[in-house]
Amino acid sequence: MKNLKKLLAVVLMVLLAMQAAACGSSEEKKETGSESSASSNESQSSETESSQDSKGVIAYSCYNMSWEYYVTLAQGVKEAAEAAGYEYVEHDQQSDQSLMIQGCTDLLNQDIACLVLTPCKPEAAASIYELAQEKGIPVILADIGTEASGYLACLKSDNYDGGVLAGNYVLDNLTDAQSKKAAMITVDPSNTNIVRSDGFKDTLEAGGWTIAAELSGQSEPDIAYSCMQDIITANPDVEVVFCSNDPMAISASQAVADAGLTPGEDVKVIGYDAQSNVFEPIENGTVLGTVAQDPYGMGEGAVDCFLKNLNGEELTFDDEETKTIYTDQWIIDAANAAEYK
Amino acid sequence: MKQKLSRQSENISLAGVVVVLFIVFTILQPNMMTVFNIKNILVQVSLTAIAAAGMTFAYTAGVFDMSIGSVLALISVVVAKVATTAGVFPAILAAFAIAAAVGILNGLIVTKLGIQAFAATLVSMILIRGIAVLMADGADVPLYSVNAIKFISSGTILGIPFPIILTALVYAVSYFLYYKTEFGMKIRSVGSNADASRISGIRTQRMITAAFILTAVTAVFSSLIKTAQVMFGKATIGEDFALDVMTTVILGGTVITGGKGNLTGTLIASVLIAVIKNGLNINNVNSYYQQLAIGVILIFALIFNGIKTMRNTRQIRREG
Amino acid sequence: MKKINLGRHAVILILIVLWGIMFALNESFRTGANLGSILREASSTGIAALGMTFIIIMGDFDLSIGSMLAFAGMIMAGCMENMGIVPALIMGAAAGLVCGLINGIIIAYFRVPAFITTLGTYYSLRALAYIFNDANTIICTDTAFLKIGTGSIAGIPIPFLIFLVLAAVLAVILNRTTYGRHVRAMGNSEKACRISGIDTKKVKCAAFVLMGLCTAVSSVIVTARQACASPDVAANFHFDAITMVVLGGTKMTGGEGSIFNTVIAAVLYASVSNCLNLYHVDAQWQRVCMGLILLAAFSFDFIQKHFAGLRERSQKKTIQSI
Repeated sequence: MKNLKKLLAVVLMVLLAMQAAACGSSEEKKETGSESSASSNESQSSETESSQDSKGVIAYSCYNMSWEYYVTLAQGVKEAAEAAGYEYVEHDQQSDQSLMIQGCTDLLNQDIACLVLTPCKPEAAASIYELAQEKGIPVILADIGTEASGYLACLKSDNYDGGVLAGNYVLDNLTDAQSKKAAMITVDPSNTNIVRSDGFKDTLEAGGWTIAAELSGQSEPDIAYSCMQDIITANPDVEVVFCSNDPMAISASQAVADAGLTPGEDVKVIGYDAQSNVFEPIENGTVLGTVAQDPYGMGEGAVDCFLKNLNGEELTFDDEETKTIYTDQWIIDAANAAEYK
Repeated sequence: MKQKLSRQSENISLAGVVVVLFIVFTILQPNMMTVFNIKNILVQVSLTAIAAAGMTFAYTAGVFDMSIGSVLALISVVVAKVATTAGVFPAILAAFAIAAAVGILNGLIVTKLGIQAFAATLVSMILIRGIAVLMADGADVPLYSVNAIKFISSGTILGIPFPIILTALVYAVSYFLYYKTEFGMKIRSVGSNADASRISGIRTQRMITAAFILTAVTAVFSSLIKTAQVMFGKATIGEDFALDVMTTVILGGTVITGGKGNLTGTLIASVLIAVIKNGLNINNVNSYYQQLAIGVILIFALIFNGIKTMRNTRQIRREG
Repeated sequence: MKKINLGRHAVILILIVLWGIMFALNESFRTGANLGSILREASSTGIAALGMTFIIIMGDFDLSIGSMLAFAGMIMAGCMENMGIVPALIMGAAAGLVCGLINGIIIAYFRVPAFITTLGTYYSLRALAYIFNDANTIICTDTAFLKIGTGSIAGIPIPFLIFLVLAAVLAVILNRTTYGRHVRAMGNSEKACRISGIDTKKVKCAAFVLMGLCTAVSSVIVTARQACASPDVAANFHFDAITMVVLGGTKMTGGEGSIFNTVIAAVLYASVSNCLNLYHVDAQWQRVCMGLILLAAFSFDFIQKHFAGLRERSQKKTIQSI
């Protein structure tokens, strides 16, 4: 029996320590939250000091915080939320749809003011909208849209159009192409971003090119590297390779160089997302260009939509039916890289 | 003697499968049989083969390591961070130091806490991945400024790519360790009968820890090659690496209950898997068919092995 | 002095303590909606953990259940479009059963270790799930079907009710039937079982079939909750299920374990991740936290032995001093 008591004490201590740690971190967050809200209050100077913490919580549930793109998006949500006097919390789905539902349910059960959501599996998000509607919490989608209804607005850039943009860039700039052979290294085939490569494919095929190879790099650079090696083996005359994200594009350009070819001359690589470490390869020519999106703007815009809706303002959609607001997409290449860096 | 022969016949049949597959793929896509592609395949082989050599030691000692995929990611982040600030050699030193620490940690959890290898390395897999992601802090760590590191993945010596030379070296050392030294003998004896080894004076716990260190250290080579290939560190790579490496070792004919490893088989099996992946890739077959092929081949190899061992035991029973 | 099996009671004590603390400290935690969501989360993985309890008691484990769940889900959702709910559910269950049977036959009748067999099916079934609908997600729209995942009866989530019923049935099988006795005996010594005339192959094979069926039920709940079946679902499912079983005090070496504790452990596991979510702990730290909890669970045995050793030593000392 003594044994059990001792252990119970140990377990209790561990749990308490955990609890304390958890509280500590959340308190820290609260502090930073109130600090920044205080600073924003100062700048507005009209806000009352007495409003205790903040107006409420704006939560962002993210696809995967291991990707720089989403870190930037989260930054946008965070700064806009705190500027408006809200507290900001975030949740990481880690690309797992079960975690997405679990985490969003937990957020909604805490009566937050607004949920900004990038669903890693948009088809699976229906039950989240249902719960949100039950609770009267607005959901705003960022970056990835869904077919189900029940959200307030959806801010994204059309990924298919992004692929088209890249395709047209190739058609316009590589007029002296000889073999007119292109290849694609895509994300996992069940990923919603797969439409990027579809857009690219359709545009190029309409322009008289052939897609010689389409392999899945599963979003990971190391897999994309060996895919690129194999593409060169099978099609030594391939001229353009479209990669569905920048890490894959960078590693593909490395594979081209390692194969004894010159990236940018023999094989041109195009990426997607305009991640910060792609600018250097673009400037020195190993990566031809990348399709830039505006994740920070999406995050900011999502909070903006919420605030407008709160004030009773009408939201204007680019597509009324799906309540979509399209954000900008543009090509970054060696000519304008310095501008956006 | 008979056992040795049977192992050799196993290796030969495995090599036969490789040759047949290679010919089939060459017929489907003639570019398979070019010097360029064979070099590529061998470089791709090196990625799993080197770590699989270490894993063969682990299996021989009766344990295995689920955590090397996370080690791969952690090392890639650490190397990228240290190489850009302090240079290539400190980075490589740090990589090996971390791997050795992970190996020791795994070994201590298994031997001192008495937790099964699967469970212990599952824990370290989760923890190390967490550390890697925390260190990377949601960003990829670029390595462009350090051109020297590129040598690891694409440098050549006498026209042979460095990863292939590295593989040869690692296997030469492994063969020597495994078959010619007291250390190898002890590892095998620990795997086949831990109690007997302990009684005969072998420090079994040390041997098991050493096997874990070897596995983690060989994973460093794989990680270095990968990092040098893509030229940045990323905390999400290698999710399936541990399972891939284990599949290789098992396909190679190493007995998973311990005691009997087959380094040659491991090497041939890594070639087999690389040929499958490469062959399907250059024929533009979707990645999930690759998984299916590897899974089905693994299952059939197992069934085949199961039938053979059953026949053997029956024969022994009849003869005895 | 009666020897107390720590692993047996620790999990429920921890759960009570955790819930106590959270009830006192966190307003969001004690709402009915949140508690319901915990139970709902506990059920989907928990049901698979029930089957896994049988497997681990036998001293094996199954890595393929995540892939199996995806595969069964795809089959079920695919059939639902043109066949209706009931045939689709039957097809899903059949898929789970067949997958379990394949595992069972290879493991039991060809004597291949469970670890590698299920490693093989882990790859193959995941690939088949992708191939089934060319990697596309299948959306389920049938409201009656979706109710299985999202509905509740008298405030208790339907998945949890299914979980409890299954747990009760499996507990009876494990503790009150000959089959259950054989399973437990197998974990202690397979050789002894074979000598004493138990058809060990059949027992083993049946356990994997049971695992397949449990996974199919999990698949129904996951699919209904997400309103879609996708091939990349449940990537870490096997780890979660194994963690729950081990948290419940079932030893990885086999021989003993209890269904009741697995249920409690499932609720505990869901509660912990709920708490971490409520305090908005970063995903990376959550991962580290889960790893530590897992380590603690695996170390139960060691801690227990260690304490027992200390006690013996102190007892010896007191005897000597007397």
